[in-house]
Amino acid sequence: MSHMDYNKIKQLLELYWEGETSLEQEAQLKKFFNQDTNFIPEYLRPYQPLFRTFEAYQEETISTGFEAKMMATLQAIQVEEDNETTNKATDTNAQNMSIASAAPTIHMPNPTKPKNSIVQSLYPLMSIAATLLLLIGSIYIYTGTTTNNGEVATINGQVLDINNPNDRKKAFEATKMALTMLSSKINTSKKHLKHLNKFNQSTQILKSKNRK
Amino acid sequence: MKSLIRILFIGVAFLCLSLNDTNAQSSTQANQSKMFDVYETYAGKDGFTTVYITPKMFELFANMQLEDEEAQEVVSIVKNLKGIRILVYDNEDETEDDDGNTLTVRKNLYDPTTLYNEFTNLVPRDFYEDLMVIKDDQTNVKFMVHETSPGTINELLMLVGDPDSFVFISLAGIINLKDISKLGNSVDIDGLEHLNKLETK
Repeated sequence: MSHMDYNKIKQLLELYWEGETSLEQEAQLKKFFNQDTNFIPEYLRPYQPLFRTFEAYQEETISTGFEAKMMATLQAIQVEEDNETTNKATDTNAQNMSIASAAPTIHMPNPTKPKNSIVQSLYPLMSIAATLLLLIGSIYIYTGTTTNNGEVATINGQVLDINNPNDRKKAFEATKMALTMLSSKINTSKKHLKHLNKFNQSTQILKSKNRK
Repeated sequence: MKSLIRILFIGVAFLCLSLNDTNAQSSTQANQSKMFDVYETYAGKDGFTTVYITPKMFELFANMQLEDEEAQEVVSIVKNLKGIRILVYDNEDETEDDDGNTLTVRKNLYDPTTLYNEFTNLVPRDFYEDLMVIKDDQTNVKFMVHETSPGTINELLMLVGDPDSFVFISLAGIINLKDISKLGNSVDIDGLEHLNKLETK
């Protein structure tokens, strides 16, 4: 095909994107893209799948000996793997290994094809489930972290106003009172602990005396 | 296919984590609300003073014009807190008689010791541990803590009951007992080593 033809195809493509091609022009495009891929210039190849008809795909049939070839290669791979594993195995457990490696070759002819198709049919469902899980999870986290109801402080049930300096002062005094009280109680307990310490010391003395 | 399974797995893990997280949160809330319920029962009743302060207010403390050192200490302690609840029952009321003298009147609406016992029994034992209990004459003091990991106190409860008053204080957040004990008695360093022992408990 000449260079001119490619330009024409380009023009037709543009028309096609605009949705302004006639049936004839579309047929032209189809014809162009359904030829052997080698005749289509590189820059036009991305559009090929759009115009390739089912017939063109149907032409891509599996060659008659495909299945036999496939099985042969599969078995060859299996044998290779078996050899590898038996090579790795030491003399002492070589017997066990050969038994173990023999087992998969027997079951090999029918790989887990039906199982796979079931799993495959579940993919869309699984992706939906995954999305849902993510969504639910994020909602849980979101609602879990935003629980505060905007209340800043209350004294005797009265909500304090942040902007009121007097209220702030009140809140601060209450906080200070609580902390000082905690402090003083901790400190009195320390004094008690001191007595305990004396008790400990005296018991230590008694113990050491007993030992003597 | 593998990537899909991976996404699904991550999704499940994520959900489990978040559920765990919310469970933990709600259980914390349940336990706090158990204390909160008691707190609320007496809030607003005659003779009681209740205070609840949130971290939002603590943030504002930092902006306040505070001159004295003690106030600064309060601000620095409060920085790591997530809330303070205070409930005080004062059995004494001060009134002035005709001559202008202050008189102390016993209200006797509640018995502070009974309140102390009631509150002590209502504290969920699986959540809070006794830190120290002091019985001195007619005064009962009990400190309880909730630790997230050994040595890290995440909630501190203090109950004080004597014939004249009952006090319940709950501090939530990261609590450093040493800093609190320093407050208001910066001169009294004596005995701090005992507190160090307490903290390693």
